[in-house]
Amino acid sequence: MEPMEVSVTDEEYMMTKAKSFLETDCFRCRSWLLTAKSMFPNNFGIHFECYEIEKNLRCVQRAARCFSCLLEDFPNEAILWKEIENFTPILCMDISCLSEEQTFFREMFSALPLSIQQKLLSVCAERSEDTMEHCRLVLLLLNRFPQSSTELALKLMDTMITAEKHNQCPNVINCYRKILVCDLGPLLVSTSTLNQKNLYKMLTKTTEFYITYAMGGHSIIQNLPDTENYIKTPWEDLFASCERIGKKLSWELRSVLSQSDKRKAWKKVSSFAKKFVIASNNSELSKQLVFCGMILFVRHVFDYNKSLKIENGSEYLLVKAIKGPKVQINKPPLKQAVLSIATKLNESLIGITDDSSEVLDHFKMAFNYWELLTNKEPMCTDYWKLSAQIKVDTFIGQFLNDIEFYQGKYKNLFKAVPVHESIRKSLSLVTLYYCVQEFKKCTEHIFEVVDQIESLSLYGSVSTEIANPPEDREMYYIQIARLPVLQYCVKIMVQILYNQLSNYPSTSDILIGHLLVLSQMVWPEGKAIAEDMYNHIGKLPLFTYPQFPAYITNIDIIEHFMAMFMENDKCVLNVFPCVASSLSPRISTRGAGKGVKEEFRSALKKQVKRWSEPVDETMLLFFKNERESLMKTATLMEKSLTF
Amino acid sequence: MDYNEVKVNLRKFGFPLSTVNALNQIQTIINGETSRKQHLNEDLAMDLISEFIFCETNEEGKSTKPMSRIRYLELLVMICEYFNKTKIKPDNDNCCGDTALNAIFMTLFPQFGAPPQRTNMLVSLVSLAISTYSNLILQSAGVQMQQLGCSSKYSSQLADGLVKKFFTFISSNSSSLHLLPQNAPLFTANLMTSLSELYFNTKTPDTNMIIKEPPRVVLETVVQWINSDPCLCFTAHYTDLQRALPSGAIPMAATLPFLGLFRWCFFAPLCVKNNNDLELYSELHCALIESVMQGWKVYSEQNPRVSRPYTLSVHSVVPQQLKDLIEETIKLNDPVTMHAVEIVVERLTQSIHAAIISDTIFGNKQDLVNQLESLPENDVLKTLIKRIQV
Repeated sequence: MEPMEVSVTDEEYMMTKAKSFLETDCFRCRSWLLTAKSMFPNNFGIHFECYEIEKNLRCVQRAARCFSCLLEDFPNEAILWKEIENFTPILCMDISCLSEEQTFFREMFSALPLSIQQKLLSVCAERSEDTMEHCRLVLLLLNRFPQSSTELALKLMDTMITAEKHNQCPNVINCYRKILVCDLGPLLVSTSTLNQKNLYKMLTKTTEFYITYAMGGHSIIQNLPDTENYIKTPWEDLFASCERIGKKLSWELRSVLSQSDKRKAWKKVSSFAKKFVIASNNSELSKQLVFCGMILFVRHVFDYNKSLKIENGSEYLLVKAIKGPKVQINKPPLKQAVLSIATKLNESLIGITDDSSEVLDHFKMAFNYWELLTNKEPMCTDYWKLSAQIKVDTFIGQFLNDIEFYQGKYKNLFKAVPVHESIRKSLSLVTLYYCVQEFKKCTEHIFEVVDQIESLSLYGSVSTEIANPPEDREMYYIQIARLPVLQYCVKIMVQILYNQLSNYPSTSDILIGHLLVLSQMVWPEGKAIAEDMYNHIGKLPLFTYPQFPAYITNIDIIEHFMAMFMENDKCVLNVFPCVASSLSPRISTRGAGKGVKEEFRSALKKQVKRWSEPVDETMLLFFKNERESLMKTATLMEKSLTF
Repeated sequence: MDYNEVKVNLRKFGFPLSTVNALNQIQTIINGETSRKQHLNEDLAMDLISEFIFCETNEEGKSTKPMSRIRYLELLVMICEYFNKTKIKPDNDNCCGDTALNAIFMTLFPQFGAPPQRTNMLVSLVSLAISTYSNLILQSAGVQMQQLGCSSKYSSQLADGLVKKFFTFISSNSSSLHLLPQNAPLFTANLMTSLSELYFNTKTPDTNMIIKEPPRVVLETVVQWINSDPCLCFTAHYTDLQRALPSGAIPMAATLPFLGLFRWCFFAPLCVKNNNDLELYSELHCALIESVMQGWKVYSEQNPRVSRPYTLSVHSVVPQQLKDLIEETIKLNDPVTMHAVEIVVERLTQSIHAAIISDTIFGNKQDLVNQLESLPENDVLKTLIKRIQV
């Protein structure tokens, strides 16, 4: 019973009949279509129409069956290939943003027999002229059919690297690199298609990409759909990728990347370095160590940078610890004193103005890796090579600056001060000028700080670390907040004034007064300063400090003045301008100056009432009003050092 | 061991241990020793089964009270577990099950010689097996159905029992029903054949011509099964039953569900009034012709050495009852019923065409033409007759 020649009308009759039931009974329609197809097996029109009817009915399975029959029986029909070109790009799109029809195509493709899927993908990938589309089709092919050609995968790797060059991507964070690293990389590594050279290439590309992404604060990668244009966990992804590649390179050290205990990781890395690398000078081992070590190092720097900027909007700045006040400032040394870092980090040298230990921990860990990677051969050479390749230095500037600060290379750091006007910039300059003993400039910047301090919303708290740092403290992280910063500036001023006072005791009244005022900010440690000042005053016949009522609110100091006034009759205290007019040299003579005495007493009583005023407000007022005299003192003091 | 000794030993235990031991004993009797005379062995097995497994007789061989419901359930679960714990040989497919188990199944549920309540037991056991995916039982049941004939009383009773006691209490969305074609294809195919004989069938001795429709759930399930796998209906044909049977048994010829199910589709437009059901018959028809055209093509491409099956037979494709029904309907001369006749002829034409295309029709060309010419005139029918005559 061979099929016979049938007139065109028969075919048309069948199709019309079939389509007449499309609305009322789709299965009756399908039965007709099946009959028509089997009656006219060579009529592409009928077969294609059947496919389109199933497509419009959104019946995935049947459409897929029709489609694979079409491909098998009519592989050269142009209309069919047009349809294929319509839907292959959809396979590369993101599922979440597909239209209903696009979703249908996607599902239909998955319902096709695997051999047909593979054939379609490879043909379409070859035909595709757009690099991204080509790459996605090949990726799809590799993902679905891992056994398909490994050459294809290698070719794709080259294509992506060339595409990155050809499209002149301004930085590492571009769509080609992302696909190379995030999509193609794991695939290539898992199928063992890469040789050692290519593995290193992939490792470098991967490390560079993730480090730049995480450290550069990138978020959106251009030219990619919304769901894949960002990386949620760059570090975790970097660790995972490197571990994967490390496994292929049989790196013993790869496990440190996923080690959650950072100290244990460091122990492993350092003992690995000591045991194998330094002794053997083996370049493979050194590469392994440098890759793992550098990734962990940069991660610690990342954590360090993050901990420097804390959640509530404030940040930390590494500054020189201010000792004293009784520290004799000598002439500036000709050569910079440089702390040796060849030895281990001396932890007691660095402190912090509040309880947070994170900053110190991260600095210490980063420092350890830095020291390991940059101080000994053969790691040193490898590190600098790799670091130049990945441009690590651009991301760890803050850390490098802080290392220089730790080493005492202050002069280099002036160029690293932030460009924009900010309290951070002014405070950096304060501490740097202090370190190089340019007290005039230092004081100038203290005034800059004071001018900006009112814009700080964060109060912070006063700190004994600033008021009275431990003996061996050389520097500490200061929280950029109103009270600690002000306290720090006060501490420097105290030191300058104190020095001036001890050098030129003759011009003492105003210095003594100012020091009394400043001591309030570092109370109770300031008590020692105040007591010293009382001694000075006790030796004077007349102590004139008319600013007293404006700035002295400390109850201890006021009480002491009262006591001095009552007990001491050698010194005349000319501290209340209102009382001063009637002052005579023998004020304390009984009876004669009784009225004055009463006046003085009531002025002090009035002053007592101000004890609860915030000391920082008083300090700010003091700095504003006394700028001239403070500047003068600082200038004199600097001159006395230079000559 | 002596004939009586076996029984005496088993009587030392109570339920459930006695049943477990009896099952093991039966296994050794049936599949193990061949030294004894075969009929003696079978007698012993039968005795053990009725006394220790189904508890139909007591020590003296007299019938006992029916067992309690709980015990009934416990027993079912025990048989299920017994079948499930057996490891299938790796070369076995999921059609034939395990030859040794098939033999035990046949002894447990024989065609003749068992009391009628055992039929109920069989229905319950198969229901439980479907719900618990106990595939080896289902595979054994499938082999037994085919060996005894899918339209035999045994298979019909099983199919009817399943419809009444299982299908009617379960939704057609149930995953155990959906997965049945994968888990036990031979059983599914043979069950379809048995079911197809239960409905729209006037061959039954009942001369009153009461045409029975299948329950909707059965219809839905059958449609779903056929759509899930176009080759499913051919399973009985290509299954090598010989491998599934104990040595010496002669496999019976397979019957396929096509003829019976096509008959449903032909009768439905004239008998069924419910529109929703009518749609399902349309879907069934579509699934059937697709299976006829595709199923065999797909299977034979992969297995070129298997002989060709017959999906339709010239002599039975248009049954007399259908012709009578069509004539009666035409006499009514009502446009609605005329439309129904048109559908019937259309389906007949399409199914015969499908069988012709797939080369699975049995019979003589001229006989077929004669059959078709006796039907009411229709354009497509004419085209088909023309094509056949060339």
